Amino acid sequence: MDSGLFNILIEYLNIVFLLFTVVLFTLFSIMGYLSTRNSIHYKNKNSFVDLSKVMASPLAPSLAVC
Amino acid sequence: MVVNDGSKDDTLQKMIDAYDLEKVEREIDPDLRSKPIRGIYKSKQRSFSKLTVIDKENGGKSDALNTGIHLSRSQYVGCIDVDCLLIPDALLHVVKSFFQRTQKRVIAVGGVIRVANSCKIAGGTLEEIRLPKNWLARFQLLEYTRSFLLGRMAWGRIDSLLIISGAFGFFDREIALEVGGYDTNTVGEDMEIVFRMRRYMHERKLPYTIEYIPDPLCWTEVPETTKILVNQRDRWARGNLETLFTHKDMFFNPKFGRLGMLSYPYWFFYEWLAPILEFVGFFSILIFYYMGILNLEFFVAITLTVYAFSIMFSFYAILWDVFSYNQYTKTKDILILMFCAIIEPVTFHPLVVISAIRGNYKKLFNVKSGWGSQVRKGFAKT
Repeated sequence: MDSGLFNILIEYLNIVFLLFTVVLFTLFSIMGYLSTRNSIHYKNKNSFVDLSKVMASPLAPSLAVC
Repeated sequence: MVVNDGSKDDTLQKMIDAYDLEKVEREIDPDLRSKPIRGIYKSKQRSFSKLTVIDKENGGKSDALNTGIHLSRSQYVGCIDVDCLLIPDALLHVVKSFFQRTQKRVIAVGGVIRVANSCKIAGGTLEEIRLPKNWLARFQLLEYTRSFLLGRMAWGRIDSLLIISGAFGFFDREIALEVGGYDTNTVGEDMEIVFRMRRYMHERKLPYTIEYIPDPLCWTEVPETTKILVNQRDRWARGNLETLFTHKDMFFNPKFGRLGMLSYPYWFFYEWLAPILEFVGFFSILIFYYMGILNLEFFVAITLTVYAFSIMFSFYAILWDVFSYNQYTKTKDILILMFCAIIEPVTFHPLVVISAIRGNYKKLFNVKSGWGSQVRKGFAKT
């Protein structure tokens, strides 16, 4: 193979690796953000819940554990 | 409900003695396709009136769980590994998650799995949370924190969670039965049933959701030896591949919305393909270096960047866990976990990659293997 063409291929390969890394970083950053949002949302909604009311509620469904 | 899946020791007799069980007659659903049931037992004691023990021939975990789901009469059913420990309010949290939604039907609820190795446990209660003494368990603790608290929480946020851990999973019994229960032909049954339940709801255009609870409700023992860990991860890799292959029509299929366009591709590229790329990449780098075509500057720069990012992500998971749940209160424990985060990419992670490669090899080349050995050390009492 022509060495010039080979060098171009290697350069492209480097760009692909770089793009893959950037995509991965972006995805993980988004995941970190979403999980933080979800955790805060869950905590705000559930921190002061009286679970005994859940147990006493006539609406509470039955649950079996295997 | 306890299913004795054809145990060869005296487990059943011990249960009969401990809980004063007697054999009862009960109608069995003709649709139940499991290994034959030898007997159903109920306790004579009022305090254990809700306990049902099913004795059946060995058919594997999925078969045992399907039997339990069929014989249960409740609206919701939870499947829990025998070596898991639930905190006292755990089931109330789950019930609340099931009936707090009004617009959508909650078809399943999953939660965080915490590492119980070295914790002080007495009378079935978690008395003191301690950092595992074993280094392998510490790495898994870090991995679980990252995966459950960041990964699955994020997927839960966009309602695209594709896995509920088999150790702590709760399902709408009606939907679980409609889809045929757990698949007995896969070792990734916990992931596969979620795929099928989601498909079922999606194809019928029914509004539904899967809830995820980040509270530390379920504690389990993780492997402390390399052999058991490799067997476990090998099984996970096979289960992953089996499920992805079964539902391959979802791959970038806009018909399935976020599931097809986001979740499935993530599982394909990150959970399945990434270990293979890492493995092949490692040898490619050696070959490129030998051939003299490796751009060393670029290689070092990108490796250090990825390494720094992975440490940063792990640090964030640890600190977020401290901020939100504060399970490990000693500064020393947090520092140990941070140290684990620094050395994990070059110590624990290669082991996980090799296990995944082994699992994929076994699956792709039809090497006969099942669940592998499931040796457990048992919870520490002091």
